[in-house]
Amino acid sequence: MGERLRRILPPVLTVILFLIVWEAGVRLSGIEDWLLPAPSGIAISFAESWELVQRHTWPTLQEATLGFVLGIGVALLLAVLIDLFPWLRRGVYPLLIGSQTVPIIAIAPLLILWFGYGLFPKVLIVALVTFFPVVVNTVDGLSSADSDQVRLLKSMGANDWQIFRLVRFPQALPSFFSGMKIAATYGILGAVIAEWLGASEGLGVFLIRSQNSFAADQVFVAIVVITFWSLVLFSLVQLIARFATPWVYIEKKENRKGEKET
Amino acid sequence: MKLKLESLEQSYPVAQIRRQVIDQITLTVEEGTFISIIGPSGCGKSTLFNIISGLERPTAGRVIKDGREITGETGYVSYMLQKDCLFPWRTVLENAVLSAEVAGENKRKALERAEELLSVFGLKGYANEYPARLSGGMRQRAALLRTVMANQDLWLLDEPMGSLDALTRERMQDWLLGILEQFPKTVLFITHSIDEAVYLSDRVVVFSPRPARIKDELTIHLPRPRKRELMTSESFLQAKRWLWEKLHEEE
Ligand SMILES: Nc1ncnc2c1ncn2[C@@H]1O[C@H](COP(=O)(O)OP(=O)(O)OP(=O)(O)O)[C@@H](O)[C@H]1O
Ligand SMILES: [Mg+2]
Repeated sequence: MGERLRRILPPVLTVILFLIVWEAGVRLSGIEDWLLPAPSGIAISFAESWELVQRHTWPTLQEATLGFVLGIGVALLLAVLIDLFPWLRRGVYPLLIGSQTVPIIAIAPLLILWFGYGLFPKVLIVALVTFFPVVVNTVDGLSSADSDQVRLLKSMGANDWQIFRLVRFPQALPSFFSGMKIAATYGILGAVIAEWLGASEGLGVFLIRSQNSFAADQVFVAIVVITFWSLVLFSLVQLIARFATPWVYIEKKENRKGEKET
Repeated sequence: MKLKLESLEQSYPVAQIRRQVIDQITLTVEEGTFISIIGPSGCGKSTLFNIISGLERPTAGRVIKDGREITGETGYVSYMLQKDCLFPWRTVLENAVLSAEVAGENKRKALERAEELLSVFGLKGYANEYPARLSGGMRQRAALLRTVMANQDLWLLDEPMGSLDALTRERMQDWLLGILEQFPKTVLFITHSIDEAVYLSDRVVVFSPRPARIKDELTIHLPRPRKRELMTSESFLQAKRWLWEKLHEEE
């Protein structure tokens, strides 16, 4: 417990210090509120617009989670297919890597054009941004199976499907989850960007409206909320990872112990 | 006769030429014997095990087990590779039942059987630990438990004690002898330690440098069960000296 406290305390102190400097800076310099509000001002604005923010948060969360689940599901399926069929790896995987350079924000208007202003195109945009890190990481993980572990299984008479199920898949899980963690940080952001392009509600809409009315304090409120929910999503993935791949964390802990001893 | 290797040959294409690794190896192994293989590093010992286990097909020759040809076929031996190859995502117990799972046996029954064996393998209380938590000796024993659980009557052990410190290694040797009394098997055992080979074996086969040929072999007449005191006896030392000279003599 003491060790954990010692890890958490420094960043917390840094944040507190930062907020104090910010507050003091704004007050002493007398900078305009609509340019840079003080943390206290943001807090007040947060309290005042609480219900409005809530109303705009739920649609965004809905788009983000649906898109996240869709993106990850498709990514996992495609990664497994790419691993199982060499011609898919040769034919599709390079394109997949290449297509990562296509900015989603440039494709988004197209999706809006095709599918309208409803929920679906936004879910699709989130799915697109979360899809790539997961598929790439999982394919990498699947193809980096330890050859001796595979040989051991083969010597027992295992077939290809058993080798996949007993070695390749479980050993790819940590990579899958690191891809998913990256995806988790993109999820909410993807939904917000999708909303910029056309929506009547959501944090993206709230952001644009705040900007248009020169309400910097509300922009900050939106930033806080987006960060908070991104963190929640990230922590959720982390929790699932801990549950699904306990050995990874045990190994890390043992390594740390080993380092301390030497 | 448990196993018969007939004129095995293995070579690989390496940069335009063929690299010969196994050269005319013929060996018969009687049921229930413990045979050690010693030879210089890189001579082809592991390659021979790969062939016997069916992981590799020899370029020539046959592998016959219980009178049936099994050349290039897997699933007839229990092979403990040079690395312990414990799956880090499986607990000790789950690692132990790997072969049962591959064979499509009832997993719950296999788990029960493995659990009963834990204390024999000095792993009591570690059933649900991940390999990362185990010491080197324990990992080796867990790998051996997995080997035992495979229910094969022929074991190929590739330097199972190579990574252990001297003291743990001696303990593991005695422990292995005990295990084999409990579960009599036919064992082929690769080692770099002459002491270990003499102490454990009924026969010791000496390989030449690559390409591996059988240079000579020695039958060990020490009484069983083996005791540590034997290691200072005249016949033990004689066997050691003979093997040492064979291993180091020029071609
Ligand atoms: N697939 C392969 N292609 C080319 N050369 C190979 C291949 N497999 C093995 N060799 C060569 O065969 C030789 C014997 O390898 P092997 O692993 O059998 O040696 P070893 O006797 O087990 O050595 P060690 O005592 O170090 O474990 C090595 O020189 C290796 O480079
Ligand atoms: Mg070897």
